[in-house]
Formats: sequence, structure tokens, C-alpha cells
Amino acid sequence: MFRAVSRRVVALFTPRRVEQELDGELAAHLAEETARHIARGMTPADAAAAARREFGNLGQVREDARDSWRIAALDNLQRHLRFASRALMRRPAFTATALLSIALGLASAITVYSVIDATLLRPLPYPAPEQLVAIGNDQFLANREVAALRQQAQSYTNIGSFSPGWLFPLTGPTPALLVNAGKVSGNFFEIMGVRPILGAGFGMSAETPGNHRVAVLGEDLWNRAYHRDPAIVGQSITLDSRPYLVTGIMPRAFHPIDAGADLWIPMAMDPSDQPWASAITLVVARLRPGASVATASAEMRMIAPRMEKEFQHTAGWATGVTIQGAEERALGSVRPVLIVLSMAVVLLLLTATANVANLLLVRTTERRQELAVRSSLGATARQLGALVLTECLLLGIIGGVLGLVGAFAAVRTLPHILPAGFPRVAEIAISGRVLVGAAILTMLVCALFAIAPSLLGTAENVGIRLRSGRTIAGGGARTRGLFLATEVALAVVLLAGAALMGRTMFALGQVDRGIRSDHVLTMRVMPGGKTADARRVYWTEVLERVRHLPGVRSAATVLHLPMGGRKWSANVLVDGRPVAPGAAPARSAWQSVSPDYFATVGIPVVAGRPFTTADDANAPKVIAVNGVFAAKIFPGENPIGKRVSAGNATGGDTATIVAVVGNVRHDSLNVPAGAELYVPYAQNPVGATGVVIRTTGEPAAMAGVLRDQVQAVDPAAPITDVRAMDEVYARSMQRPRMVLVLMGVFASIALLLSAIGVYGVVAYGVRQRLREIGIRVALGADHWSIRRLVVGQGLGYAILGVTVGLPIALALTRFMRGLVFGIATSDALSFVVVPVVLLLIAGIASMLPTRIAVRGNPTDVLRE
Amino acid sequence: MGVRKTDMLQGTLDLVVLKLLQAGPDHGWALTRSIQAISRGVLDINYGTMYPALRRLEARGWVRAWWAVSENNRRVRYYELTASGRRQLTTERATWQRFSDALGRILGTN
Repeated sequence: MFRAVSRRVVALFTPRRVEQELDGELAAHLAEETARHIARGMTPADAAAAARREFGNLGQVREDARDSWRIAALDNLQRHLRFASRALMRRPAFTATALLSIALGLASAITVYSVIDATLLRPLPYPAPEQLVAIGNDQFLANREVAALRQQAQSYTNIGSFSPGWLFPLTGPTPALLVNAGKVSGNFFEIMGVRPILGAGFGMSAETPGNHRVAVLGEDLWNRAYHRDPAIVGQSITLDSRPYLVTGIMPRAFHPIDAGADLWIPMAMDPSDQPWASAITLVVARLRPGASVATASAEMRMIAPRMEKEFQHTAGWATGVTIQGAEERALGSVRPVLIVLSMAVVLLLLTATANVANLLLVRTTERRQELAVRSSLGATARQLGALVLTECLLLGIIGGVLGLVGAFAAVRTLPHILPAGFPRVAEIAISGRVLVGAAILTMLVCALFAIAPSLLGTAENVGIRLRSGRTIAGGGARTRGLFLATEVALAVVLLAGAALMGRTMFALGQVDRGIRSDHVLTMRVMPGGKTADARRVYWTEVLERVRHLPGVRSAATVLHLPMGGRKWSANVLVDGRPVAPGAAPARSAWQSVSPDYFATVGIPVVAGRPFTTADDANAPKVIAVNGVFAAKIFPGENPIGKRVSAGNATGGDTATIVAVVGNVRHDSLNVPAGAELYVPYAQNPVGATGVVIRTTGEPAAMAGVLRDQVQAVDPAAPITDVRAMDEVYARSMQRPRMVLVLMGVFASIALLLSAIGVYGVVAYGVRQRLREIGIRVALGADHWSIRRLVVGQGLGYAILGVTVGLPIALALTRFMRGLVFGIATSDALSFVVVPVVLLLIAGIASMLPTRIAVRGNPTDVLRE
Repeated sequence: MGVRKTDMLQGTLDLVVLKLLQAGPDHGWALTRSIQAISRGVLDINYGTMYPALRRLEARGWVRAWWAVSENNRRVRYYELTASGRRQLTTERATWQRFSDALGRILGTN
């Protein structure tokens, strides 16, 4: 049957062979005819001419022959398709189930692969992205290290720097905006290789202190603040109360490495700067042709120790310097997610395919009567095969189109599902490449389930068996059982994955955040360009205004909001405890908070006293430390009353520890709290500050009022990120939630398909055995024993599937190691619940057909 | 050119070819000669139209073809009726019979 179809298809698309054959045939005809004329006495020339004349227009004949071939082939196909579609429409339940299976499987696969195509497979939008590397250190690199690298490193054509995340107020546009500036080296735009859409980037001269008041705007900020006015290039803008000359506009797609920015300003390269003043988070460089991340890393292992010594870094600094390809840095974090999801959709697609194959098996067996009749009417095995095959093809094509439609819809909703900060979201689309992949996938799926009917043997055999009066149910039953078990096994794997993610979400929800996030509103306010005294006055007024509003319990300020993605750290020196030469001093994150902060966000004061308004600029300096700090730096001692200095946190002075407070997970829910210390805001009025407000009612409902009140104190101070703190936490769980949602959807589909599969096979089995069941009932079997008989069959295959599926699931879920939290990937609970759920569903699906079995009078069945 | 020739009716060539092949496998040129001989030269077919017709029958699966050497020692393409070709012939013959009977009755009444 394959040969018949393929020959027609070949003829349809490559008429060359057909034409060559035709030419040979026509030449033979002319030769015979010429010979006949010669035999009747013509001269060879006359004979040939006569033969040609009688033959008619040779070109026309060739054309006609080709057409008739094509038309007939198309005609055949059309006839088959019409027949197949009529046959499918006669069985709407079968057709709908099969189409739904194919469409769901393909839609899931296409959607996930469009994400993978956009993020992992397409190169980053920079010229020669493989040359781009990021050089980083777990502490920091500064101007002097960049200068040293530029002098010493041979692996690069260009070395620059990038320090993202500087928040500055931009005044001029109303209302004032809080913008996220990236401080970059003069050669940064050259290194990235992206040209501005307007104006120019800044050159190396901008690194010279004094020349550095220039800015390049991002396209989004240009839209938002200046309505795409091209005249802004060459004009001055006011950033952090200082004038900057706008030199150019960068395109929206410019999203260097993994951190976007609203605008870029030069990092003034004064190597004599205090290192923290130019704390660069990232050095970006372009590799010289021939150099690789490996060779550059080898070179760095020579240079870094020299720098460690020269700049008097703490011991071990050099080993923390790493080189990473730009692609790895941008995409490394999403790769495990996408690998797991792509495996999940492959499993789902296989489940769907097995389901359709199973349905086809049942259908083909049920149709044996029809096929046998057709066969006895003279249809050949080949024709019957073509019939069944065309049905498969039709199912595949319609299912594929439906799947594609579903995928288009799903891709449109992706930006809402994917976690904030997911790389390259804007580039996700169903591209030509994805379409081609989808078509190939459809054909593969089609071919896989089209094999199923042929497993029953050829139609002719069916006909012979039927005529001989033997049953043909037996052979198909085992095949169906195997497909069913496969389906269940695949569903086990998907369910296990979903269960693990569910447990992860639960574990994340159970994590002690260290603060009470309910009824708390947070916002980020940036009163720029003020002196320390002016900031103190500003914040006092803000808190006074807010605190007395109805519905507000308390309000406080904090340097960096928990889960805000920002954290400052300092070296901690304990009074009277000298640091051994060469040993690294202890480090701790630090926060500057107003007195009510602990009470407002519910951080318990474990020992000592909370800050009060008396801890002001004139009072002796005090700090509070968290439990981790106390345990790490004062193990077995009472830290209260101890005196420490902590770099910028204490302004270089020594402060007295007055309190031990609870630990707060500041970075992420799945990262345990580190050492953290708190200083009273009045004693260290730093710039960027978050506001936390505890409300009596729904915090989001008060967002507008509170924003207005803060705005009224200083209209030039930009306010951003006004959010309920619960929402901040919800956002932080977006990634595991996305994986959970997608895995959950995939697993539910697989479960549904398995249930359909079990039901279909059991229901068919029951119909086959009605006679047997009738006899049993007639001989006195009660309904329960019949039910046991029927359910046992379905459950048997399900148990086989679960038995096979569990070890596969155990092996495959190991790929989820980076995604789960709080549990092992072999989590016992998940691996107990999943089989139970599956067997329960299989049991229910097997129960339904028992109604057919015990319905009606057994004598009716026996008489049939 | 003593005999008046009649054009083949549209579509009848397929039927004729199927009928001729009922006797056994044959090749294109021989088939054209047979039509000439059996119809005593009345049915005038453009020899060229034989080949598109054969292709049409082949594509529909009514005949199958293979290359072989003819009685005149030339490589020619032989055609043979398939089972479905045989059935098609029966059907078409019956149709034709009904058609010509009806036509005969209409034209025969004066």
C-alpha cells in the first residue's frame, strides 16, 4: 500500500521519469510505424514523415499524456480524501478524540519549541556573539582592574565595562522619572557591535573624568519621556540633578548581556578611584580571533593572581575571577527549564500518538466487517491499505493545522505566563523554522500512528480470517494493551514531573520568609541630589504624612527592599579582633532602616532593643544584626554590646550591636538568608530607599493615595514599583510556577488521554466479550464478578504501564534537579501519589464500560 | 481515402483500449493497429491520443505496464488489465450498452 501511494506521489512531483518513459514509448511507436510503411514500399524518408503525420502533434501528445497522468493522480487522491473524510465524519467521537489528541500534543510541542527557537537556537542579536565574553568576580572588579586587564591581557581585541542598575531621577519630563542607568566604558557600544538608531554612542574620550557628562538613551525611554523627538539628540537632560548631553538613541532590542537599562552613561575611568566608587559588576570583552573562553581563562589564571597582589585584594580573590561566554551568561539560567519542558512535550506528543494509534487499532478491528465486505467486492489489499492510510493522513493534517492554530494562540499568551526577566521574550514567535519543524513533526506523528492498523496484518488476511469464521480480536488485543501500557507509562513520567513542581511550590510557600508580607505595600522612592541632612528631613516628612493616613498602621524606610534584586555588602571588622594577614574579613549585607522597619514588616527582635528615634545622627552609632550574622561572627557569644565596624554601613566608624533580629531571605525564597546587619537611617541616610507601609485593609487599594502623599512631599522625586509585598513574593515564584503550570497542563492532558485510552480499550473488550459475559451471567455470575472481570482487564494494563513508567520517571526527573526546591527529585511522596492517582483514574475509566456489560438481559445477548 | 472516417466519440477510446486489452497484454503501437484493423478503418484515431489514454488508465490503476521486447524486436511498453480494470470494463460496457440502446431507440423511431 505504501508503494502504490508513493508511486503516485512520485509521479505527481517528478514527472521527469514519466516523461522519459513516454519518450521511449513514442519513439518505439514511430519506429514500428515507419517500418510498416517501408515494408509497404515507401522510402525510409517518406515512411518516417508519414508516421509523424499520422501520429499528430508530438508535443501536444506529450503534454496530454503528462496532464492525464497528473489529473488522474490528483483525482485519485481527491477520491481517497473524500472517501476518508466521509468515513471519519461517520464516527464523530473517534474523529474528535483523535484530532484533539493530535492537536493538543502538537500545539504543546510547537509552543515550547518556538520558545527554544527564539531563546536558545537563534544567535544573540550582536555581530559575532561567540566572541563576546563577560569577565566577573564574586566580589567586584573596578576601574583599576579594567585598566590592568587592558594592559596585560592578550586574548581580547577590546575590553570594556558595564555596571547596570544605577537608579537616578530624571527631571525635566513631568512627572519626574526614576531611570535605570547603565554605567559603561567608552568602547562599550563598539564591543557590543550595535549601532545607535539616531546620533552616536560615546567614544573612549568619554572615559576621561570631565568629559563624562554624556548619555545615550534607550529607545523605550526616548518614547516614554521625549515622544520620539529627534531633536533631543544634542540637547542636555538633567539626571541626578546634573546635566548630561544626549549623544544618541540605542534600539529597543539592545539589551546587553542580561541587564537592560533605560539609558547609558560613561563610567569615568580614573584608576586612582576608590575601588568601590567604580564597582563594576561586569567586564565585557571581545575575544581576539583564535581565542576562546578556555584560552582566555587560562590567561586569566596568570593575570588574576598578579592583580590580587598588586591591588591588595583578600586572599582567594583571584580564583573568583571567571570568564563566561555572553550566550551562556544570558541563557544559562533558562536552559535547564527549557530542556525539561522540551522533554515533557516530547513525552506528551508520544502519549498523544500512542492514544491515536490505540484508537485506530480499535477502529480498524471494528471495521473488519466493512473491510471484509469491500475485499469480497473486489477491493485489493492495496486499495484497502490506501483507504486506511488516507484516513491517517487526513487525521494528521487536520490535527496538525489545529495544533498550529492552538500554538499561535498559546504563543500570544506566553508573555503573561513566562516569568519577568525571561530572556528574549519579544523574539518568541512561530517563525518559518518552527513551521518547518512543525510540519516534520506532524508527518512523524502521522507515520507513527499510521503503523498501528498495519500491525493487525493486511486486510486480505482479515478477510480470509473472517471467511474462515475465526475470531480476529485476539491478535489486536495484545497490541492494544501494549499501546495502552505505553500511554500510561508516559503519563506517569509527566505526572511525576508535575508532582515534583507542585511539591516545590508548596515548599516555597512554606519557607519562612523572615517577614510578614501580608498587608504591606512597598514602593521605591528616589529623592535625588539632596544632601544627607536634606534627605533626613525629606524622609521624616514622608513618614509623618503616611503614618497618619487612615488605614495605615505603620510606615518605614529601608535601603533595599527584600526580593528587590539589590543588595550592598561590607567587610565586617570586630573591635579588638585583628584580621590575620592574608585571611579574608567576614562580609555581611547591610541595610539602612528607619526605626519602625522591624515592626512594620514583622521582623522579630530576638534579643536587645529595636531602633528608636533617639538613635539619630548625634547619638552613638548602633547596629542590629540578624541571627546568621550572630552565629557566624560571634559563635557561642552574646553579640549584644559587641563593637564592630562595617565599611560604608557604619561610615568607617565603629558601632555597638544593640539587637539581634530574625533572618530575612533577601535574595530569593530558595536561597537561605546570609549575614545581614541594619543601621538606623538617621545615622546613615543613603540614597536609594524603599518604603514599606503596613495597612489595615487591602494594601493594593491604598496604592494611589499613598503614592500621592509621597509625591506631594517632593514632586521631583520619582516613585516606582508600587506593589503589595505579597505580589513581590508571588513574582519571585514565577519561574517555578511557570514550570508547574506548563507541566501541570501537559500532565493533565496525558492523564486525560490515558483515561480515554483505557476506556476505549476496555469498552471494546467488553463489546467483544458480551457473549461470554452473557453466558457467565446466565450461569449465575453476579454483577460484581462481571465488574471485576472488566475492570481487571483495564487495570492490568495500567499496572503494567505504571510499573514500566516509574523507573523511567525516576531516571528522567533527575533532569529537574535545578528546578525543584525543598525535595529530592526522587521525592517519595510524589512517587507514591502519582501511581495511585493514575491507577485510580484507570480504575474509574475501566468502571464506565461495565455498564454495557451488566446491562440488559443475558438471553438477548446469547440469542444475537 | 475511399472509406469515410468517423471521429472517436469523446471518452470512448478508454473503453476501446480496455476492451482490446481484455484479450491479453499489448503495446501502444499494436493497439492502434488493432483499432484500425477491427473497425476496418472507420474509427479514425490520431495515433498520438493513444498514449495519453494509456497513461490515464495506468494512473487510475486499471492497467499496469512494463517494458519488454516486441515481436519486431523493439523495446516497447506492454500494458495489461488489472483486476479493477476488468471491473471497470464491465461497468463501462454496461453503461455504453444502455446509452447506445437508448440512442438507438430514439434515433430508430420515425
